[in-house]
Amino acid sequence: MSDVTAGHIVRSYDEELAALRTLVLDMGVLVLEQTSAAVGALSQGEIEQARRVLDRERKVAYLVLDADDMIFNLIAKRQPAAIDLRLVLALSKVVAHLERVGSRAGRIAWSVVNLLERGNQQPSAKILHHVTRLHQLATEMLQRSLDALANTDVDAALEVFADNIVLDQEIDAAMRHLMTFVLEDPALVGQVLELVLAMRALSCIGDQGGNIAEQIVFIAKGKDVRYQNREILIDALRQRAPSH
Amino acid sequence: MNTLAAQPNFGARAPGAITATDLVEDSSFTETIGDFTSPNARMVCRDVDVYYSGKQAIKNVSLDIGKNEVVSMIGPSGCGKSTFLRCLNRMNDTIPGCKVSGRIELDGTDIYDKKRDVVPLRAKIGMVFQKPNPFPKSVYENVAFGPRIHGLTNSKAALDELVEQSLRKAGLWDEAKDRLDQPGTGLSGGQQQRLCIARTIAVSPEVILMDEPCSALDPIATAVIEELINELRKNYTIAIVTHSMQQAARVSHRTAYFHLGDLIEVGETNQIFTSPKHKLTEDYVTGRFG
Repeated sequence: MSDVTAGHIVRSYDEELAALRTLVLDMGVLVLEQTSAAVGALSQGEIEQARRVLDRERKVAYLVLDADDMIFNLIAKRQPAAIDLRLVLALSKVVAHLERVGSRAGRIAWSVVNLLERGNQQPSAKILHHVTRLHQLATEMLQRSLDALANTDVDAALEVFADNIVLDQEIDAAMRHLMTFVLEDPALVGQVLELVLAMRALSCIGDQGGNIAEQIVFIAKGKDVRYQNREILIDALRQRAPSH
Repeated sequence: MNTLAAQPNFGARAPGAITATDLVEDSSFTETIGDFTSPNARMVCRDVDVYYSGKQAIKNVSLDIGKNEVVSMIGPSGCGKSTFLRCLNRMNDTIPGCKVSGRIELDGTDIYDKKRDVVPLRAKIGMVFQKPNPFPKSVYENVAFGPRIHGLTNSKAALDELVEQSLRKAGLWDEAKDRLDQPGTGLSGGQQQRLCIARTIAVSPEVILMDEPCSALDPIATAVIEELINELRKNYTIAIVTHSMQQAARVSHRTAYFHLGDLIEVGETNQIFTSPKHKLTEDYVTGRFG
Protein backbone atom coordinates (compact mmCIF):
# COMPACT_ATOMS: atom_id res chain seq x y z
CA MET A 1 0.00 0.00 0.00
CA SER A 2 1.12 3.57 -0.51
CA ASP A 3 3.24 5.13 2.21
CA VAL A 4 0.94 5.27 5.21
CA THR A 5 2.76 8.22 6.71
CA ALA A 6 2.26 10.43 3.64
CA GLY A 7 -0.47 12.57 2.14
CA HIS A 8 -1.56 14.84 4.98
CA ILE A 9 -2.49 18.40 4.16
CA VAL A 10 -0.18 19.41 7.03
CA ARG A 11 3.15 18.08 5.78
CA SER A 12 4.87 18.33 9.12
CA TYR A 13 2.43 15.62 10.26
CA ASP A 14 3.80 13.34 7.49
CA GLU A 15 7.31 14.14 8.67
CA GLU A 16 6.56 13.38 12.31
CA LEU A 17 4.96 10.02 11.48
CA ALA A 18 7.80 9.11 9.11
CA ALA A 19 10.39 10.14 11.72
CA LEU A 20 8.73 7.93 14.32
CA ARG A 21 8.68 4.95 11.97
CA THR A 22 12.33 5.56 11.01
CA LEU A 23 13.31 5.66 14.68
CA VAL A 24 11.53 2.35 15.27
CA LEU A 25 13.23 0.78 12.24
CA ASP A 26 16.61 2.09 13.47
CA MET A 27 15.86 0.44 16.77
CA GLY A 28 15.20 -2.75 14.79
CA VAL A 29 18.63 -2.49 13.17
CA LEU A 30 20.27 -2.04 16.56
CA VAL A 31 18.60 -5.01 18.24
CA LEU A 32 19.35 -7.22 15.22
CA GLU A 33 23.00 -6.21 15.51
CA GLN A 34 22.86 -6.95 19.23
CA THR A 35 21.41 -10.38 18.55
CA SER A 36 23.99 -11.23 15.90
CA ALA A 37 26.84 -9.96 18.08
CA ALA A 38 25.62 -12.00 21.05
CA VAL A 39 25.27 -15.17 18.99
CA GLY A 40 28.68 -14.49 17.42
CA ALA A 41 30.19 -14.17 20.88
CA LEU A 42 28.56 -17.46 21.86
CA SER A 43 29.74 -19.40 18.83
CA GLN A 44 33.28 -17.97 18.90
CA GLY A 45 33.75 -17.85 22.68
CA GLU A 46 34.32 -14.07 22.64
CA ILE A 47 33.62 -12.87 26.16
CA GLU A 48 34.64 -9.27 25.39
CA GLN A 49 32.17 -9.13 22.51
CA ALA A 50 29.48 -10.42 24.87
CA ARG A 51 30.34 -7.66 27.34
CA ARG A 52 30.09 -5.06 24.57
CA VAL A 53 26.60 -6.35 23.81
CA LEU A 54 25.66 -5.83 27.45
CA ASP A 55 27.17 -2.34 27.43
CA ARG A 56 25.15 -1.39 24.35
CA GLU A 57 21.84 -2.37 25.97
CA ARG A 58 21.47 1.21 27.21
CA LYS A 59 21.41 2.40 23.57
CA VAL A 60 18.24 0.39 23.09
CA ALA A 61 16.80 1.94 26.24
CA TYR A 62 17.55 5.45 24.93
CA LEU A 63 15.75 4.69 21.68
CA VAL A 64 12.74 3.39 23.65
CA LEU A 65 12.61 6.67 25.58
CA ASP A 66 12.94 8.71 22.36
CA ALA A 67 10.18 6.73 20.65
CA ASP A 68 7.86 7.05 23.65
CA ASP A 69 8.49 10.79 23.72
CA MET A 70 7.64 11.12 20.02
CA ILE A 71 4.49 9.04 20.40
CA PHE A 72 3.41 11.05 23.43
CA ASN A 73 3.83 14.34 21.57
CA LEU A 74 2.23 13.05 18.38
CA ILE A 75 -0.91 12.00 20.21
CA ALA A 76 -1.08 15.24 22.16
CA LYS A 77 -0.52 17.52 19.18
CA ARG A 78 -2.11 15.68 16.25
CA GLN A 79 -4.87 13.57 17.81
CA PRO A 80 -4.37 10.93 15.12
CA ALA A 81 -7.39 9.09 13.74
CA ALA A 82 -8.04 6.00 11.62
CA ILE A 83 -4.89 4.65 9.94
CA ASP A 84 -2.70 7.30 11.60
CA LEU A 85 -3.97 6.25 15.01
CA ARG A 86 -3.47 2.59 14.18
CA LEU A 87 0.06 3.33 12.97
CA VAL A 88 1.01 5.24 16.12
CA LEU A 89 -0.47 2.61 18.45
CA ALA A 90 1.17 -0.19 16.45
CA LEU A 91 4.57 1.51 16.49
CA SER A 92 4.22 1.94 20.23
CA LYS A 93 3.74 -1.80 20.57
CA VAL A 94 6.56 -2.55 18.10
CA VAL A 95 8.90 -0.49 20.30
CA ALA A 96 8.03 -2.75 23.24
CA HIS A 97 8.61 -5.87 21.09
CA LEU A 98 12.01 -4.57 19.94
CA GLU A 99 12.95 -3.68 23.49
CA ARG A 100 12.27 -7.30 24.35
CA VAL A 101 14.52 -8.44 21.47
CA GLY A 102 17.28 -6.25 22.87
CA SER A 103 16.76 -7.73 26.30
CA ARG A 104 16.88 -11.28 24.93
CA ALA A 105 20.10 -10.49 23.04
CA GLY A 106 21.46 -9.39 26.39
CA ARG A 107 20.38 -12.73 27.86
CA ILE A 108 22.39 -14.59 25.20
CA ALA A 109 25.39 -12.39 26.03
CA TRP A 110 25.00 -13.34 29.71
CA SER A 111 25.08 -17.00 28.71
CA VAL A 112 28.45 -16.38 27.05
CA VAL A 113 29.75 -14.69 30.20
CA ASN A 114 28.42 -17.52 32.37
CA LEU A 115 29.91 -20.22 30.15
CA LEU A 116 33.37 -18.69 29.87
CA GLU A 117 33.75 -16.90 33.18
CA ARG A 118 32.50 -19.67 35.41
CA GLY A 119 34.87 -22.21 33.96
CA ASN A 120 32.51 -24.08 31.72
CA GLN A 121 33.97 -25.08 28.43
CA GLN A 122 33.17 -23.44 25.13
CA PRO A 123 30.37 -25.58 23.61
CA SER A 124 31.33 -27.74 20.68
CA ALA A 125 30.26 -26.91 17.11
CA LYS A 126 27.96 -29.93 17.21
CA ILE A 127 26.05 -28.50 20.15
CA LEU A 128 26.13 -24.97 18.72
CA HIS A 129 24.63 -26.11 15.43
CA HIS A 130 21.11 -25.56 16.75
CA VAL A 131 21.93 -22.09 18.01
CA THR A 132 23.17 -21.11 14.56
CA ARG A 133 20.05 -22.48 12.91
CA LEU A 134 17.68 -20.81 15.37
CA HIS A 135 19.58 -17.53 15.09
CA GLN A 136 19.17 -17.61 11.32
CA LEU A 137 15.43 -18.33 11.56
CA ALA A 138 14.73 -15.79 14.31
CA THR A 139 16.64 -12.92 12.73
CA GLU A 140 15.12 -13.62 9.31
CA MET A 141 11.69 -13.39 10.89
CA LEU A 142 12.55 -10.15 12.61
CA GLN A 143 14.13 -8.64 9.49
CA ARG A 144 11.17 -9.61 7.37
CA SER A 145 8.70 -8.18 9.88
CA LEU A 146 10.60 -4.87 9.94
CA ASP A 147 10.71 -4.83 6.16
CA ALA A 148 6.95 -5.44 6.12
CA LEU A 149 6.53 -2.61 8.63
CA ALA A 150 8.49 -0.24 6.39
CA ASN A 151 6.14 -1.04 3.48
CA THR A 152 2.95 -1.86 5.43
CA ASP A 153 3.10 -5.12 3.50
CA VAL A 154 0.52 -7.61 4.77
CA ASP A 155 1.74 -10.29 2.38
CA ALA A 156 5.20 -10.19 3.93
CA ALA A 157 3.61 -10.26 7.40
CA LEU A 158 1.86 -13.52 6.45
CA GLU A 159 5.24 -15.06 5.60
CA VAL A 160 6.46 -14.15 9.09
CA PHE A 161 3.47 -15.96 10.62
CA ALA A 162 4.36 -19.03 8.57
CA ASP A 163 8.00 -18.83 9.70
CA ASN A 164 6.84 -18.65 13.33
CA ILE A 165 5.35 -22.12 12.98
CA VAL A 166 8.67 -23.44 11.58
CA LEU A 167 10.60 -21.77 14.40
CA ASP A 168 8.43 -23.44 17.04
CA GLN A 169 9.06 -26.83 15.42
CA GLU A 170 12.83 -26.19 15.23
CA ILE A 171 13.08 -25.21 18.87
CA ASP A 172 11.27 -28.38 19.96
CA ALA A 173 13.63 -30.50 17.86
CA ALA A 174 16.69 -28.63 19.19
CA MET A 175 15.63 -29.11 22.82
CA ARG A 176 15.14 -32.82 22.32
CA HIS A 177 18.57 -33.11 20.67
CA LEU A 178 20.29 -31.13 23.43
CA MET A 179 18.90 -33.51 26.02
CA THR A 180 20.66 -36.38 24.28
CA PHE A 181 24.01 -34.67 24.97
CA VAL A 182 23.19 -34.49 28.66
CA LEU A 183 22.17 -38.14 28.72
CA GLU A 184 25.46 -39.11 27.04
CA ASP A 185 27.60 -36.91 29.28
CA PRO A 186 25.97 -35.53 32.47
CA ALA A 187 28.98 -33.22 32.94
CA LEU A 188 27.61 -31.13 30.07
CA VAL A 189 24.51 -30.18 32.03
CA GLY A 190 25.77 -26.69 32.92
CA GLN A 191 26.75 -25.98 29.32
CA VAL A 192 23.50 -27.33 27.92
CA LEU A 193 21.46 -25.35 30.42
CA GLU A 194 23.05 -22.09 29.23
CA LEU A 195 22.41 -23.09 25.63
CA VAL A 196 18.80 -23.90 26.41
CA LEU A 197 18.43 -20.40 27.85
CA ALA A 198 20.13 -18.91 24.77
CA MET A 199 17.87 -20.87 22.44
CA ARG A 200 14.80 -19.83 24.41
CA ALA A 201 15.98 -16.24 23.96
CA LEU A 202 16.29 -16.78 20.19
CA SER A 203 12.83 -18.31 20.11
CA CYS A 204 11.53 -15.23 21.90
CA ILE A 205 13.30 -12.97 19.38
CA GLY A 206 11.60 -14.79 16.51
CA ASP A 207 8.28 -14.51 18.32
CA GLN A 208 8.72 -10.74 18.45
CA GLY A 209 8.93 -10.81 14.63
CA GLY A 210 5.54 -12.51 14.66
CA ASN A 211 4.21 -9.94 17.11
CA ILE A 212 5.40 -7.12 14.84
CA ALA A 213 3.73 -8.82 11.87
CA GLU A 214 0.45 -8.77 13.83
CA GLN A 215 0.80 -5.01 14.17
CA ILE A 216 1.21 -4.68 10.40
CA VAL A 217 -2.13 -6.43 9.90
CA PHE A 218 -3.61 -4.01 12.46
CA ILE A 219 -2.22 -0.98 10.60
CA ALA A 220 -3.32 -2.12 7.15
CA LYS A 221 -6.61 -3.81 7.92
CA GLY A 222 -7.71 -2.41 11.25
CA LYS A 223 -8.00 -5.92 12.68
CA ASP A 224 -6.44 -6.90 15.97
CA VAL A 225 -5.12 -10.39 15.26
CA ARG A 226 -3.19 -10.93 18.46
CA TYR A 227 -3.71 -14.19 20.35
CA GLN A 228 -5.14 -15.93 17.31
CA ASN A 229 -4.14 -19.30 15.94
CA ARG A 230 -1.53 -18.45 13.31
CA GLU A 231 -2.50 -21.19 10.86
CA ILE A 232 -6.14 -20.13 10.89
CA LEU A 233 -5.06 -16.50 10.61
CA ILE A 234 -2.86 -17.15 7.56
CA ASP A 235 -5.76 -18.94 5.84
CA ALA A 236 -8.21 -16.17 6.67
CA LEU A 237 -5.94 -13.37 5.52
CA ARG A 238 -4.89 -15.17 2.33
CA GLN A 239 -8.53 -15.74 1.42
CA ARG A 240 -9.27 -12.06 1.90
CA ALA A 241 -6.18 -10.76 0.14
CA PRO A 242 -6.86 -9.48 -3.37
CA SER A 243 -5.43 -11.48 -6.24
CA HIS A 244 -2.44 -10.22 -8.18
CA MET B 1 30.48 -17.30 11.08
CA ASN B 2 29.88 -13.67 10.32
CA THR B 3 27.42 -12.69 12.99
CA LEU B 4 27.66 -8.94 12.47
CA ALA B 5 25.77 -8.94 9.22
CA ALA B 6 25.49 -5.88 7.00
CA GLN B 7 22.69 -3.51 7.98
CA PRO B 8 19.44 -4.85 6.65
CA ASN B 9 17.72 -2.69 4.10
CA PHE B 10 14.21 -2.44 5.52
CA GLY B 11 11.80 -1.22 2.93
CA ALA B 12 13.28 -2.97 -0.10
CA ARG B 13 9.93 -4.13 -1.40
CA ALA B 14 9.55 -7.57 -2.88
CA PRO B 15 8.12 -7.37 -6.40
CA GLY B 16 4.47 -8.35 -6.67
CA ALA B 17 3.81 -8.22 -2.94
CA ILE B 18 0.17 -7.94 -1.97
CA THR B 19 -0.03 -4.62 -0.24
CA ALA B 20 -3.66 -3.69 -0.77
CA THR B 21 -6.08 -3.82 2.09
CA ASP B 22 -9.71 -4.78 2.22
CA LEU B 23 -10.31 -2.04 4.75
CA VAL B 24 -10.10 1.03 2.60
CA GLU B 25 -11.54 0.98 -0.85
CA ASP B 26 -10.60 3.24 -3.72
CA SER B 27 -11.86 6.79 -4.06
CA SER B 28 -14.75 5.94 -6.38
CA PHE B 29 -18.29 5.94 -5.02
CA THR B 30 -21.11 3.61 -5.98
CA GLU B 31 -23.20 3.22 -2.83
CA THR B 32 -23.12 4.14 0.84
CA ILE B 33 -20.86 1.89 2.89
CA GLY B 34 -22.22 0.83 6.27
CA ASP B 35 -25.67 0.27 7.70
CA PHE B 36 -27.71 3.44 7.30
CA THR B 37 -30.68 1.96 9.15
CA SER B 38 -31.37 2.15 12.86
CA PRO B 39 -33.31 -0.45 14.87
CA ASN B 40 -35.19 2.28 16.77
CA ALA B 41 -35.56 4.79 13.97
CA ARG B 42 -37.53 7.95 14.70
CA MET B 43 -36.59 9.59 11.45
CA VAL B 44 -36.30 7.50 8.32
CA CYS B 45 -34.85 9.07 5.17
CA ARG B 46 -34.86 7.16 1.90
CA ASP B 47 -33.47 8.11 -1.50
CA VAL B 48 -33.40 11.80 -0.70
CA ASP B 49 -32.35 14.10 -3.54
CA VAL B 50 -32.08 17.86 -3.17
CA TYR B 51 -31.70 20.32 -6.05
CA TYR B 52 -30.97 24.03 -5.81
CA SER B 53 -32.29 25.59 -9.02
CA GLY B 54 -31.64 22.36 -10.90
CA LYS B 55 -28.20 21.73 -9.41
CA GLN B 56 -28.08 18.55 -7.38
CA ALA B 57 -26.81 19.10 -3.83
CA ILE B 58 -27.83 15.76 -2.26
CA LYS B 59 -27.74 12.51 -4.21
CA ASN B 60 -29.95 9.62 -3.24
CA VAL B 61 -29.17 9.71 0.47
CA SER B 62 -30.74 7.20 2.86
CA LEU B 63 -30.18 7.48 6.61
CA ASP B 64 -32.09 6.68 9.80
CA ILE B 65 -31.84 8.61 13.04
CA GLY B 66 -32.69 6.44 16.01
CA LYS B 67 -34.46 7.18 19.26
CA ASN B 68 -32.15 8.72 21.91
CA GLU B 69 -29.36 8.57 19.39
CA VAL B 70 -26.90 11.29 18.44
CA VAL B 71 -25.99 11.11 14.76
CA SER B 72 -23.28 13.43 13.51
CA MET B 73 -22.81 14.45 9.92
CA ILE B 74 -19.33 15.38 8.83
CA GLY B 75 -17.69 16.30 5.56
CA PRO B 76 -15.89 19.10 3.78
CA SER B 77 -17.60 22.42 3.03
CA GLY B 78 -20.21 22.08 0.31
CA CYS B 79 -20.64 18.33 0.80
CA GLY B 80 -24.37 18.69 1.54
CA LYS B 81 -24.44 17.85 5.23
CA SER B 82 -26.23 21.07 6.26
CA THR B 83 -28.56 20.78 3.26
CA PHE B 84 -29.50 17.28 4.37
CA LEU B 85 -30.00 18.41 7.98
CA ARG B 86 -32.29 21.22 6.83
CA CYS B 87 -34.39 18.71 4.90
CA LEU B 88 -35.23 17.01 8.19
CA ASN B 89 -37.54 19.79 9.34
CA ARG B 90 -38.33 21.27 5.94
CA MET B 91 -36.18 24.33 6.47
CA ASN B 92 -35.25 24.09 2.80
CA ASP B 93 -38.87 24.95 1.96
CA THR B 94 -37.93 28.56 2.62
CA ILE B 95 -35.21 28.55 -0.06
CA PRO B 96 -36.45 29.57 -3.53
CA GLY B 97 -35.59 27.01 -6.21
CA CYS B 98 -34.97 24.21 -3.74
CA LYS B 99 -36.56 20.90 -4.63
CA VAL B 100 -36.53 17.90 -2.28
CA SER B 101 -37.53 14.40 -3.42
CA GLY B 102 -37.44 10.99 -1.79
CA ARG B 103 -39.10 10.12 1.48
CA ILE B 104 -38.46 11.52 4.97
CA GLU B 105 -40.57 10.18 7.83
CA LEU B 106 -40.94 11.08 11.47
CA ASP B 107 -42.38 8.16 13.43
CA GLY B 108 -43.74 6.65 10.24
CA THR B 109 -45.43 9.72 8.80
CA ASP B 110 -44.17 11.57 5.76
CA ILE B 111 -42.99 15.03 6.78
CA TYR B 112 -43.26 16.21 3.17
CA ASP B 113 -46.95 15.32 2.96
CA LYS B 114 -48.65 18.25 1.25
CA LYS B 115 -51.27 18.41 4.00
CA ARG B 116 -48.63 18.67 6.69
CA ASP B 117 -48.45 21.99 8.55
CA VAL B 118 -44.76 22.88 8.87
CA VAL B 119 -45.21 25.06 11.98
CA PRO B 120 -46.02 22.17 14.38
CA LEU B 121 -43.56 20.01 12.44
CA ARG B 122 -40.73 22.44 13.24
CA ALA B 123 -41.81 22.40 16.89
CA LYS B 124 -41.49 18.60 16.85
CA ILE B 125 -38.19 18.78 15.03
CA GLY B 126 -36.40 21.75 16.55
CA MET B 127 -33.26 23.33 15.25
CA VAL B 128 -30.24 25.06 16.76
CA PHE B 129 -28.12 27.11 14.39
CA GLN B 130 -24.45 27.88 14.00
CA LYS B 131 -24.69 31.38 15.38
CA PRO B 132 -26.70 31.90 18.56
CA ASN B 133 -29.81 33.81 17.50
CA PRO B 134 -31.85 34.77 20.57
CA PHE B 135 -34.86 37.01 19.96
CA PRO B 136 -34.30 40.65 20.97
CA LYS B 137 -36.40 39.98 24.04
CA SER B 138 -35.81 39.00 27.64
CA VAL B 139 -34.36 35.63 28.59
CA TYR B 140 -37.82 34.64 29.88
CA GLU B 141 -39.60 35.71 26.71
CA ASN B 142 -37.13 33.88 24.49
CA VAL B 143 -38.12 30.61 26.12
CA ALA B 144 -41.80 31.44 26.67
CA PHE B 145 -42.43 32.59 23.10
CA GLY B 146 -42.75 29.15 21.51
CA PRO B 147 -45.01 27.56 24.16
CA ARG B 148 -47.21 30.65 24.07
CA ILE B 149 -47.79 30.66 20.30
CA HIS B 150 -48.27 26.89 20.25
CA GLY B 151 -50.71 27.16 23.18
CA LEU B 152 -48.79 24.63 25.26
CA THR B 153 -49.70 26.15 28.63
CA ASN B 154 -52.91 27.61 30.04
CA SER B 155 -51.67 29.67 32.95
CA LYS B 156 -48.85 31.98 33.88
CA ALA B 157 -47.71 29.56 36.60
CA ALA B 158 -47.53 26.70 34.09
CA LEU B 159 -45.57 28.88 31.68
CA ASP B 160 -43.18 29.90 34.46
CA GLU B 161 -42.69 26.25 35.29
CA LEU B 162 -42.04 25.36 31.63
CA VAL B 163 -39.50 28.18 31.24
CA GLU B 164 -37.66 27.03 34.35
CA GLN B 165 -37.66 23.39 33.27
CA SER B 166 -36.42 24.30 29.79
CA LEU B 167 -33.63 26.47 31.17
CA ARG B 168 -32.69 23.72 33.60
CA LYS B 169 -32.54 21.11 30.82
CA ALA B 170 -30.35 23.48 28.82
CA GLY B 171 -28.04 23.87 31.80
CA LEU B 172 -28.71 27.61 31.99
CA TRP B 173 -31.06 28.01 34.96
CA ASP B 174 -28.44 28.66 37.61
CA GLU B 175 -26.76 31.31 35.48
CA ALA B 176 -29.97 32.96 34.22
CA LYS B 177 -32.51 32.66 37.04
CA ASP B 178 -31.66 36.10 38.42
CA ARG B 179 -31.71 37.84 35.05
CA LEU B 180 -34.81 36.41 33.41
CA ASP B 181 -36.08 39.89 32.61
CA GLN B 182 -32.84 41.02 31.01
CA PRO B 183 -32.21 40.79 27.24
CA GLY B 184 -31.15 37.37 25.96
CA THR B 185 -28.66 39.12 23.72
CA GLY B 186 -26.82 40.29 26.84
CA LEU B 187 -25.71 36.76 27.68
CA SER B 188 -22.31 35.35 26.64
CA GLY B 189 -22.07 33.44 23.35
CA GLY B 190 -22.19 30.05 25.04
CA GLN B 191 -25.10 31.13 27.26
CA GLN B 192 -26.95 32.48 24.21
CA GLN B 193 -26.53 29.14 22.44
CA ARG B 194 -27.87 27.32 25.52
CA LEU B 195 -30.75 29.82 25.59
CA CYS B 196 -31.51 28.84 21.98
CA ILE B 197 -31.43 25.20 23.03
CA ALA B 198 -33.80 26.01 25.94
CA ARG B 199 -36.08 27.78 23.45
CA THR B 200 -36.04 24.66 21.26
CA ILE B 201 -36.72 22.34 24.19
CA ALA B 202 -39.59 24.52 25.46
CA VAL B 203 -41.92 23.39 22.67
CA SER B 204 -41.39 19.70 23.53
CA PRO B 205 -39.57 18.55 20.41
CA GLU B 206 -38.91 14.94 19.60
CA VAL B 207 -35.88 15.58 17.47
CA ILE B 208 -33.28 18.33 17.81
CA LEU B 209 -31.22 19.31 14.78
CA MET B 210 -27.99 21.16 15.43
CA ASP B 211 -26.13 22.88 12.61
CA GLU B 212 -22.56 23.50 13.78
CA PRO B 213 -23.82 24.61 17.21
CA CYS B 214 -20.35 25.28 18.64
CA SER B 215 -18.55 26.87 15.72
CA ALA B 216 -18.92 30.36 17.22
CA LEU B 217 -18.02 29.29 20.76
CA ASP B 218 -14.78 29.02 22.70
CA PRO B 219 -13.54 25.59 23.87
CA ILE B 220 -15.06 25.91 27.35
CA ALA B 221 -18.48 26.94 26.05
CA THR B 222 -18.14 24.12 23.50
CA ALA B 223 -17.46 21.61 26.26
CA VAL B 224 -20.57 22.81 28.13
CA ILE B 225 -22.70 22.34 24.99
CA GLU B 226 -21.19 18.90 24.39
CA GLU B 227 -22.01 17.87 27.94
CA LEU B 228 -25.51 19.22 27.37
CA ILE B 229 -25.87 17.12 24.20
CA ASN B 230 -24.90 14.10 26.26
CA GLU B 231 -27.67 14.92 28.75
CA LEU B 232 -30.26 15.79 26.10
CA ARG B 233 -29.84 12.52 24.25
CA LYS B 234 -31.52 10.74 27.17
CA ASN B 235 -34.79 12.42 26.18
CA TYR B 236 -34.34 13.51 22.59
CA THR B 237 -33.13 12.28 19.24
CA ILE B 238 -30.31 14.48 17.99
CA ALA B 239 -28.73 15.06 14.59
CA ILE B 240 -25.72 17.32 14.52
CA VAL B 241 -23.67 18.79 11.69
CA THR B 242 -20.17 19.66 12.73
CA HIS B 243 -16.89 20.70 11.14
CA SER B 244 -15.05 19.48 14.22
CA MET B 245 -14.23 15.83 13.77
CA GLN B 246 -13.19 15.57 17.40
CA GLN B 247 -16.62 16.89 18.37
CA ALA B 248 -18.33 14.28 16.21
CA ALA B 249 -16.11 11.64 17.80
CA ARG B 250 -16.92 12.86 21.30
CA VAL B 251 -20.68 13.36 21.16
CA SER B 252 -22.20 11.01 18.60
CA HIS B 253 -23.13 7.36 18.49
CA ARG B 254 -23.10 7.15 14.74
CA THR B 255 -21.30 9.26 12.19
CA ALA B 256 -22.21 9.88 8.56
CA TYR B 257 -19.58 11.14 6.12
CA PHE B 258 -20.79 13.24 3.19
CA HIS B 259 -18.78 14.10 0.09
CA LEU B 260 -20.00 16.10 -2.92
CA GLY B 261 -23.63 15.35 -2.06
CA ASP B 262 -23.13 11.62 -1.58
CA LEU B 263 -23.41 9.84 1.75
CA ILE B 264 -20.14 7.94 1.44
CA GLU B 265 -20.10 6.00 4.68
CA VAL B 266 -22.10 5.69 7.85
CA GLY B 267 -21.22 3.66 10.90
CA GLU B 268 -20.63 3.53 14.60
CA THR B 269 -18.57 6.58 15.53
CA ASN B 270 -15.81 4.38 16.97
CA GLN B 271 -15.52 2.54 13.69
CA ILE B 272 -15.53 5.67 11.53
CA PHE B 273 -12.69 7.22 13.52
CA THR B 274 -10.57 4.10 13.95
CA SER B 275 -11.21 1.93 10.89
CA PRO B 276 -13.20 3.74 8.22
CA LYS B 277 -13.94 1.49 5.29
CA HIS B 278 -13.95 3.99 2.44
CA LYS B 279 -10.81 5.78 1.33
CA LEU B 280 -12.61 9.12 1.11
CA THR B 281 -13.71 8.82 4.74
CA GLU B 282 -10.22 7.87 5.82
CA ASP B 283 -8.65 10.72 3.88
CA TYR B 284 -11.05 13.17 5.52
CA VAL B 285 -10.74 12.00 9.14
CA THR B 286 -6.94 11.79 8.90
CA GLY B 287 -6.54 15.25 7.36
CA ARG B 288 -5.47 14.01 3.94
CA PHE B 289 -8.40 15.37 1.99
CA GLY B 290 -7.14 18.02 -0.38
